[in-house]
Amino acid sequence: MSDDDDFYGNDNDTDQLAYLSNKESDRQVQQIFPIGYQDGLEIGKEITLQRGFNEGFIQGSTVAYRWSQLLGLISSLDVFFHHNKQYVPENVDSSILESLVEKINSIIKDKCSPPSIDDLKFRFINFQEEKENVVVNTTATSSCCSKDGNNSTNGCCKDDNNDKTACCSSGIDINSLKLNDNGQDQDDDDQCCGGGSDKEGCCKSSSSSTTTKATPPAIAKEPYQITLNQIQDALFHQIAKECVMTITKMGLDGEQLLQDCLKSTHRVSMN
Amino acid sequence: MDEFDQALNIESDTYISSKEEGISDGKRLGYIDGYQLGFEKGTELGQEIGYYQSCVSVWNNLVNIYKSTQKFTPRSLQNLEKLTKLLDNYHLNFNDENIMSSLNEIRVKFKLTSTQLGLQTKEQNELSF
Repeated sequence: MSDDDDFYGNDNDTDQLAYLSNKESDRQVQQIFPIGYQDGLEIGKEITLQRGFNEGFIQGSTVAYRWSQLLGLISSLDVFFHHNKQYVPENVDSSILESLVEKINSIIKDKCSPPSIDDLKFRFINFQEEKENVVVNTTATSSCCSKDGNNSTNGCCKDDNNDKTACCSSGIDINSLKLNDNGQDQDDDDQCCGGGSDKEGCCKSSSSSTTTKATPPAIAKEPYQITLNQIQDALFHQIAKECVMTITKMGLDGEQLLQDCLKSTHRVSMN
Repeated sequence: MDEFDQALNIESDTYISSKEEGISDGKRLGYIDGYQLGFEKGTELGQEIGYYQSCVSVWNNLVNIYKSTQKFTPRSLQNLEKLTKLLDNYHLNFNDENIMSSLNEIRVKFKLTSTQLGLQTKEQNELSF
């Protein structure tokens, strides 16, 4: 009898043993894998939880802080004119303030609602470990020169050559919010970027001879800087303009009030 | 290496590789969980402080503009001055143990001052700062 004819030969015995062995190891893998994965998951979460919190906190608080400044500005004036109607100029309906308060409130609701887990998963789908090297221990003064203008590392927008009203601390150029004699916005909104985008270049930075555009400080790639780009968006600029126009209609210096409100900076230090 | 050793190796290798996979996914999930929680807490505090600072800035302006025609009590002006200082010096510093007590002081002073000035805002009542 040749080997070929050996129906129940040694080869089959080996295959069967290997099959059983594989089956056993598969079973082991299936049992052990979830245990190891779960242990790893907890360890991994612990490593990055605090960093995520810090970065989320800075991001959220900075955006909310800026928008709430606009809300406080209009809301407090609304209350003042509500209680002191004698100061409301003739032919002006003081409800314009209330409408603006509602508008800002709805924007805040939208801007300040926390992103969903799914949204964040998508945003951080390419989460890289090197991000761990980012130092969060920073004062998130919106990368600004601060009130005293003493930021020697990034360069300050408030040096002697710059118009003091154009400050990076406000996130917007106050000069660009100025109105003409008719209370109209000087900008041509259809053609202008709104002056809020520093990165892509703004039409206001070079074309206007009367406006001194503050040179933004050199921005290091820190997580909270992303926030700055968000709050300097066109919407913030547009609503700030609307605030100035509305306050001016109420007989007050809208530019001055806005400037005073926005000059305070949001200071956060995380451990 | 006998079959018993082999089985043990499979167990430990599987555990190690699955744990590494878990750590990698956990880092992303931990960051996201933390980020979401931080964002939520950050907006609460940022909103509150920004609102206070802005209101106080406007109140100071209004007092200056209307002081000749509008009566503001000396007590309210005194409290406004104190509140302005408190807010100017406020720094959301998580290394400071008194971070919340300072904020509470601002909250109390804000409510008091707004009432004394007769400028209690709607948000102040609606939002549970």
